[in-house]
Amino acid sequence: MSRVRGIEVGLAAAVAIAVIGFVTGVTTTGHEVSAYVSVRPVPRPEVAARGYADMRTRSYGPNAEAQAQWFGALATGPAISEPVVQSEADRAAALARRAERRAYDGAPPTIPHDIDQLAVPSCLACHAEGKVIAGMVAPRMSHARHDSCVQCHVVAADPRRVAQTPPAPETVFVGLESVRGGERAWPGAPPTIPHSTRMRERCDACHGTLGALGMRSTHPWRQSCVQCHAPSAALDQRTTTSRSP
Amino acid sequence: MDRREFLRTSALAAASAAAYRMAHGQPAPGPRTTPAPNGDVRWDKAPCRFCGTGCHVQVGVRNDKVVAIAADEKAEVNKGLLCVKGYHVGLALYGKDRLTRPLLRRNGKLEPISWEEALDIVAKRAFDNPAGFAIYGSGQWTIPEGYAANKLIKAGLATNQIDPNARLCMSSAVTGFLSTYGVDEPAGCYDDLDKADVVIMWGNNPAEMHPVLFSRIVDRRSRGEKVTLIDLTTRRTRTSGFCQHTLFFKPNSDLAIANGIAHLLVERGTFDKAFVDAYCNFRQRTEPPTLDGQAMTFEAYRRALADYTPEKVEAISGVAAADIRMLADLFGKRDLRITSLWCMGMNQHTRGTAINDLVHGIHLLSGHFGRPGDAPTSLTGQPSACGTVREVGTLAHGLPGGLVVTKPEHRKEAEAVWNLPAGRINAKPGYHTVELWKRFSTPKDKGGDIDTIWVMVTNPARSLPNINQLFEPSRSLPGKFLIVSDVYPTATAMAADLVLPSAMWVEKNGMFGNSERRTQQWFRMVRPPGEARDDTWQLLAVARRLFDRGVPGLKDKDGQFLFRIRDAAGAEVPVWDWKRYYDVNVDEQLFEEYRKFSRFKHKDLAPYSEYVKARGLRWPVVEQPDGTWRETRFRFARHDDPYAKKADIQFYHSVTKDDRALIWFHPYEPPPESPDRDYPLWLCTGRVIEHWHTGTMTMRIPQLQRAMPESYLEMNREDAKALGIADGEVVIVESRRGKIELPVWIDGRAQPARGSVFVPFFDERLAINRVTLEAHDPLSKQPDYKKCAVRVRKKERQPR
Amino acid sequence: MTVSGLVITFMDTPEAASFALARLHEDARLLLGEPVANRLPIVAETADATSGETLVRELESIAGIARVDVISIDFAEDLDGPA
Ligand code: SF4
Repeated sequence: MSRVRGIEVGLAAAVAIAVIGFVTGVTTTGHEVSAYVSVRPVPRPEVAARGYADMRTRSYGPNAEAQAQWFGALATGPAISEPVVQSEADRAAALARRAERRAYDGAPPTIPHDIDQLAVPSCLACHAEGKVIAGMVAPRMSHARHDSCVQCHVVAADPRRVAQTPPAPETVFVGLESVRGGERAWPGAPPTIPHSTRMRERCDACHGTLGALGMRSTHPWRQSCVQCHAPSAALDQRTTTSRSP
Repeated sequence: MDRREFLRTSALAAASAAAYRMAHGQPAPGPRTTPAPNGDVRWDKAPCRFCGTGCHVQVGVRNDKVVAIAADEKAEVNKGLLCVKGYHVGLALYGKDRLTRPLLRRNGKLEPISWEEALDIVAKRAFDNPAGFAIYGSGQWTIPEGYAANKLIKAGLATNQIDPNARLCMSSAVTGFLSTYGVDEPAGCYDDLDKADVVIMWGNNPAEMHPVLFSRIVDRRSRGEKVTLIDLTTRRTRTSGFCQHTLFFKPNSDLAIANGIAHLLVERGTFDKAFVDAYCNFRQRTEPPTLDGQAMTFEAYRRALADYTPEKVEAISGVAAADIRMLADLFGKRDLRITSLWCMGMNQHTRGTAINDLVHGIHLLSGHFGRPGDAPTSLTGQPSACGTVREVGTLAHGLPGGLVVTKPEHRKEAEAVWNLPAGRINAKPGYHTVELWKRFSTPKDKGGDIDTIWVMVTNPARSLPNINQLFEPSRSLPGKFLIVSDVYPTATAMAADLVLPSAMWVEKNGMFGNSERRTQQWFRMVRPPGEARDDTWQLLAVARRLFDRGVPGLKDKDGQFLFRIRDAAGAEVPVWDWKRYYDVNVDEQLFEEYRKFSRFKHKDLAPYSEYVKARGLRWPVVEQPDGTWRETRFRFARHDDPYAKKADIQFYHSVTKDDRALIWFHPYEPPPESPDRDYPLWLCTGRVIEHWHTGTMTMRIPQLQRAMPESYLEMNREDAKALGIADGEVVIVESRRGKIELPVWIDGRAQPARGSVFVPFFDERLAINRVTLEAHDPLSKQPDYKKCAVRVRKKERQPR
Repeated sequence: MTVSGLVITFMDTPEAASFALARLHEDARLLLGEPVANRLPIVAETADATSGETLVRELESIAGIARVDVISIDFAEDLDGPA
């Protein structure tokens, strides 16, 4: 068996895999720069010009820059004790960005960077726990481990390096929008969870310290979220009013 | 107030406020701020519209529109998970160019007409020349749709001219089951995937084609279980990377590999003698081949296999002798549980029946059968290839419930259920798909006796092989009339003479049957756009017109309309009138009638109401003394199948009528067309995870189309280098039958072996089936889309 | 000790609803609020969250109850403590 399977191998290997994952799995694209969640502004490094001859074999785009500086990259996000200052505008921006990558609230997000289309996905190298790399957040995945990541997540742009991309199809689909927040029984009460917790059992994926501003928890040190925030039985398919129980 | 009291009071306050809001749809007056989170979305279950895995989704509906999809937690098939197509299935309804009005071709242009006119035209074609009128259906038909179409053709017109696109995808699996067990469809089920120690994928790429089943296996490994995955393949795919063993073989040589394994089992004595003695007979083919073949002794079987030494198999197949031994070692271990999976690789094969037989044979020979985890399991590509085609029998020779038109006692059974006068059903099978389209594309005076085809829920203008010969000529021949019921302007619809806009998926009631014998039901949740209407309704409305014109076949032996739908009081409801169609549940009534057929071959179905409650049930579903209905997971095995009573394993539909299955010997033979000097490369076609069938739905879903926006030619880097072809360059791929231009993608989604190329067939614009071969299996009549000879050349510079 | 705020939704037929209501009245773990149309706010006290969940499922299975929504859950581990 020639491939590297992550995680079980232990911590030392994990770092190595992170590097391998970075070099092989998470290569690059020229799109989506603006869509990355920025934790703190990082000056864009200068990228050397490349010849056309390189185009087919070499990486380019934002993750290429990240690759160049991966050493400095394994930093984590803000400390859990850091106060969270966020506004309604932050939240609106975060929700808008979420919507760009999802057909509807609850849809698996598309992948905003290039991937190796053939290899066993190395997504877990970065997304198992979440990472900040070169100022960009690789969010922690919100669900339990599944190995065939590309079963649900597909790239958001033409995966071929060199191709003329036909135009996108027109659709009249209007997806379910993300809700802005849960219900509060009274002002100050902990809000209920306004979305399904299915495949979103790890709250800190979005609401933790690496979450987008506007969606972050103000108390990330508290880990038992459902102690105070009630999930909805209906959204979690525990009850239903449909004709098919 | 103590703390407990405080908690109770605040909990009650919160609950009261919520109750108020839920009852009145608005917040109670008082300190309430946030609105109900998506509380106005109504959820209901449906099976996914796409592949034969048959996952269940929860469909979120608001204001008569699908707005969200969730994986169904209660579904055993997918256990709360989907693939990317399933998560986006709701978007399939909302491409901008849905067909919303019937269209008739006048002076070369498709122009809107009324439903009345359109149905009159269909009925007139069938009335004027019933013998030349055919229905070409689909494994995407719902069960009631296929049942209505089948009854219309077999009982109403009594011509048997009906065949489905599933002929192109699983008919070799059918003939494999029939010739081995005497009855169709897998004995095992998906539960085997949870128990298998070894999973062998025979020319199969489930990581992309049956993703939910594949992750069901590989996720077991992340939980610490040991599962050995073996990939037998002609190209490196996403599946390969997950497998401990990836064995590359030369096209068509899978028969040699199977024989090589059987040879070692026999020679080493590691086969399961007790199992074989108790439950199996041996069989060889006759000339011409038949499903029954002729008996052979074990000694003769052994002699026939003698040629297939590991070294000889290596020479034929390219798989190392050591790996053949490794496979034989695994099958020789009775304590291991081994599941084989296959789909189009073995079925779209000019030796499709033979290779299906051989893989069943290895499992029987080694006794890897009937215990959970021990199963030869054939997967289907379409959501109801099993349900609508195989079970309802919408094939040129089929009748519902596994009956066939060629057997007098079967015709009699069907005539009894349908209340027909004796002798109504025609004993002569209609034309199989390739033959049907050949005759449609041939002038009448040259033997082209089919002049009207009504295509439903499929896209033959892209999915038939060799479309330049089988489809296109019909479009300019006088007197040929093509009717298409579909939801989008597909290539077939745009070439049609009459287009009927259909309702799709949750715009109508429906039922599907997936790869593991699971029958599934859903209700209509939203209304179809414009004038789009249910396919079943279209069929019933045409049937009624034929009845009104006095066609005798549309009456049963009491003179009643063949499709009598009644209300609760027993009065006939004129469901052929669209306004009345949903007055009753037509699906339920058709299904209850169809269900009577399911007893003949022990494929018992439960009443409709049971399927409403369940996330599908696997047949035989048998009523218990307490009135509940129990499904069957492991067929022919006494520990689970109520019909296996006499022994631990009982093949109760045995060809040899002695409760035994047949182990076949079939020799390896070279394919009908192999690469040569002029056409030096193998061409294989297939799918990618993002797209389904000819992409008419998935290419209209932005997330899927963006991830895989067009077709491509997958080529080995070395071959490309030798031809001076660069990644991304547009080239011409050409066979003796046709050519198309395609961009090359090297080291992209997969890597073909040297000397072979691969092209997916999802892209309607880049129709690879102009190039493929229509050569087909002699028994199943299924064409081979997986191998033919092509050449690839650089595009000439345009002269300036 | 877990205190949960729940909303019961009764089925539309009055007989079914009154049957269910009678069952709820008998249950000592429940504090019933004021009904609003076919909804009834209640408070449930259980030993812990797990038995709370079991209770919700029990309620769901009562004939006449269409659904049960969990509105809030509060934990008060120490309420029944040694003190
Ligand atoms: S396409 Fe197939 S595997 Fe994917 S969700 Fe639908 S049924 Fe499941």
